[in-house]
Amino acid sequence: MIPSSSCVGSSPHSKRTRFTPCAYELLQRDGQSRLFGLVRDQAVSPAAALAAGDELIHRLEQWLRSVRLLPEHLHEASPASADALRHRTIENRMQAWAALLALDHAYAAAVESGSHLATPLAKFVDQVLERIESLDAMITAHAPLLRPVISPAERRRWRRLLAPQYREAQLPWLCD
Amino acid sequence: MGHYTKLALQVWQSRNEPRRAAAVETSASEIHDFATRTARMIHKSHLYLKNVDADDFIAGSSSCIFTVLGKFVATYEQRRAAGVCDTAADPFAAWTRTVLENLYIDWTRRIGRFEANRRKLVRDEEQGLGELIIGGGDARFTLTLAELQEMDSWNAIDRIVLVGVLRCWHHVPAEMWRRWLREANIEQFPADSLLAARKGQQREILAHALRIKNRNGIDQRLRRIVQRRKKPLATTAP
Repeated sequence: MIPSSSCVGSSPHSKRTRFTPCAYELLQRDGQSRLFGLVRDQAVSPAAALAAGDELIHRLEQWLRSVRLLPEHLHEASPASADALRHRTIENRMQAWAALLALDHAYAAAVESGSHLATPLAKFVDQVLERIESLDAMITAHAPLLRPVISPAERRRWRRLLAPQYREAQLPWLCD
Repeated sequence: MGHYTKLALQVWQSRNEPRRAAAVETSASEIHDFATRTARMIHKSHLYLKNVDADDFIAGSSSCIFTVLGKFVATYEQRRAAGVCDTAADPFAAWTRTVLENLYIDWTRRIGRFEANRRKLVRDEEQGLGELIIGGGDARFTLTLAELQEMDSWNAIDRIVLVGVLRCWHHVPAEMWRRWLREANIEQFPADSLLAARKGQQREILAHALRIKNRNGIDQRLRRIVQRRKKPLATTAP
């Protein structure tokens, strides 16, 4: 069951409810379906998108921290763990992309249908965008560190997985 | 009527009334924020543009919306008169998104064409240069004694620029090459970074190695060399 707006509050990510993890899961699955080319007609409801807010912001901050510390972590890690860290960074950014796609559709649907949740959702969208932009800036700065696991074959493999409209994207985390 | 549609109509109706302009400033500012947010979302969802190009797209998104606002109002009024408007929906929000998505794709194509043209220009220039200096064809990567003697009279940096761009330093006799480097005040050339550079990065790295400000400096020197070589030999001789 999707939570009503009353349990979300005006500042969505300041409150964590028991619905938060499943709302985040819903957002993530919707985004991944879009990103990897499965048909999605309906967007996630604005209430569910808002309920996922706390978890998404928390994860984005965690991912940002881990990219910031990537040089130190790679320095201390064994070759196998270092490669795992690099792969995890790429997977995290893909997750952020999927969540943003779902959020984008949810926000557009909320605004276009005149939903009363469009305004709190707009604030949430701004905060997510801000964090994703910081994450991208950090990944771009550390892109050479990811290069050992991004062979041309690996890049092609990732691109083949994406829906056709995203295959031409410029992805700093794939060292484009 | 949807929130942003109401704001858009307010802004449009007050366009010729300076006294009301201050009152609708908040509406215009809200539309600006909405258009900017939508543009950022479109970019971060599609990621067709590099961030530096996307910044220009995002910065210009709201002014683009205000420029074509009249078209939206005309269509909206027509549809309202015909009774085909959903009063609960916000057509301005949907219209803004469509306009910005089209603009984003148009922007991407334009930048793609610009990049392709730039690469072609560089390729043509290199090809033309090879033909002018060395005689074209496969002989592009060889330098005759007469050509080396002619280059000996050039500016010290110009010689290294040409040899660096054509990557034919191994055709210059060792003694002459050492003297050229000495005259250009360069200790070691080519550096490993130039040898390892990908095609698109070569001129940037060459500029750095020759202490020239950027790749435009290399391009300018090449243009001057081509112009000089187009003139009869007697006029180019020092």
